[in-house]
Amino acid sequence: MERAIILAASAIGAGLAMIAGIGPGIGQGYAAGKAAEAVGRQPEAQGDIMKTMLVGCAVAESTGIYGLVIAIILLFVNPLIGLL
Amino acid sequence: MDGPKILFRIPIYLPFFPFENGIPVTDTIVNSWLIILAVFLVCRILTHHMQKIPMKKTQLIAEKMVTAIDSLVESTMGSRFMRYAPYMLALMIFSLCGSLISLLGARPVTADFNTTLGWALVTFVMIQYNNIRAHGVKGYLKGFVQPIPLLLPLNIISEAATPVSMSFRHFGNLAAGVVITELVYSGLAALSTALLKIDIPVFQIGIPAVLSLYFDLFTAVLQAFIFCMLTMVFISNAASD
Amino acid sequence: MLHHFTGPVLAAAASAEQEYTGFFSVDFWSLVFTWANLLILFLIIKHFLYKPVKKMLEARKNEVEQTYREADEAKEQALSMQKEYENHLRNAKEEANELMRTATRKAQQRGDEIVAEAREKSAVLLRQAEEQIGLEKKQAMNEMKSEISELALMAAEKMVGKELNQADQERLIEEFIDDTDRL
Repeated sequence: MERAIILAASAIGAGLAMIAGIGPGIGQGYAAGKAAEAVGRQPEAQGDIMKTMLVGCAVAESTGIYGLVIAIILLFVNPLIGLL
Repeated sequence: MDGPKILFRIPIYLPFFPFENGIPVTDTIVNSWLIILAVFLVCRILTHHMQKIPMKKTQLIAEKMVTAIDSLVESTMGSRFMRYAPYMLALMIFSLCGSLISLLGARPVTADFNTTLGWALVTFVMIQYNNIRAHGVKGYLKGFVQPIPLLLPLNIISEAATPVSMSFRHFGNLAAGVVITELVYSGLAALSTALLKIDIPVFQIGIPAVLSLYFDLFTAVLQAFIFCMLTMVFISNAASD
Repeated sequence: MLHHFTGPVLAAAASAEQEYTGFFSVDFWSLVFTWANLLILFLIIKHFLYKPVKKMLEARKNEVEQTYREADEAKEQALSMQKEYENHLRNAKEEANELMRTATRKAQQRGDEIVAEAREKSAVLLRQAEEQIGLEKKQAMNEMKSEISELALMAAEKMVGKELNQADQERLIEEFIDDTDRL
């Protein structure tokens, strides 16, 4: 019974952890929009803009990845069961 | 969801390591060996019989790779870090091949947390080494109490967060691909069983390829590029400021 | 669960009992193998791809530079040669002009000299001729005078019929000559 509760709670926690995906989504969309603006303003610098945007997006993605990692841990490693 | 499979154990028993069964070798390790072998063969083929006036396409590919990594390193780190170019090329090729091996159905090397953590730790060591080299041991230690000594724990955490975030990022992207691909496969199998009442997973044909295009190809290329990019940026930052 | 491709031999070896490491766990030996693999791959890339290609690029760059340098040298040499030839040509032309001028001047001088000499010679000849003519005229005149006087004497002798003495003869001749001079 306790085990089942922990598993269910872990699944819910994993789902909640993935809310962290909202932030990077917004941030990356904003960055991509700004990059599109920049390319529109300076088409000759497209390569540099793309490179910078990709690196920036990757860094902004970190928080989302942390959420994903937490979710993965909760789902597949189930560390809370060990506390029983 | 299981982690990397332990394929066999090397029967070497070291006194101070907690592996009484011998050294375990997982499938990601074996896959990296295969990648190393393939890369070695490709390198031999690419640089075979090179001439001053290139007659073969293989030489052009090799030259293109080297000049591309050279220009990338030079534009990102500056010309005084050109000695890092071969390492960056190796890291990029390893990351790219390690991720793209999933296209062959094997488990991606980079979907093993130990792999990305190992690479990120190498980057971490390089960052610290360059920092000490540029500022001296005293300057390096002083950097932790900048701008006020109160920030010492925060500085240490931010320094330690670099390899953690790098390894998490790479691992997370690829592992998410693996997990989602696995979920899609099992979901499609269940769907074909439920709809067509047969045990043959018909829907698994073709449909996962579209997902694979994003999770394997796009993510693999992007993450390989970003990992190398961040390594270069961090190293050059550590040596400059 | 996962049925990943691991190669036939390894799959057979692993088929007996499946062991898995954690999906998200740090495994010391995996880390060690990762580092070893990274090092090996780095050495392979460095020695079998990066260095040979770099060497080749360097060699090509050197060759191109050398070719350019040689071309520049050849061009410079050609330019200097051209200049030299032009100099030579100009010198030769000047020399020829100089030669021509000298020759013309010499010829002119020579011609002038010849003309002057000829003129002088002719003048001398003319004077000599005039002198001779004068002399001959005088001679002829004298001869004529003596003949005339003799003739006159003979005529006078005939007329007088006698020999004149010396003094008379002389006086007569004088008179006669004076007369003929007055003629």
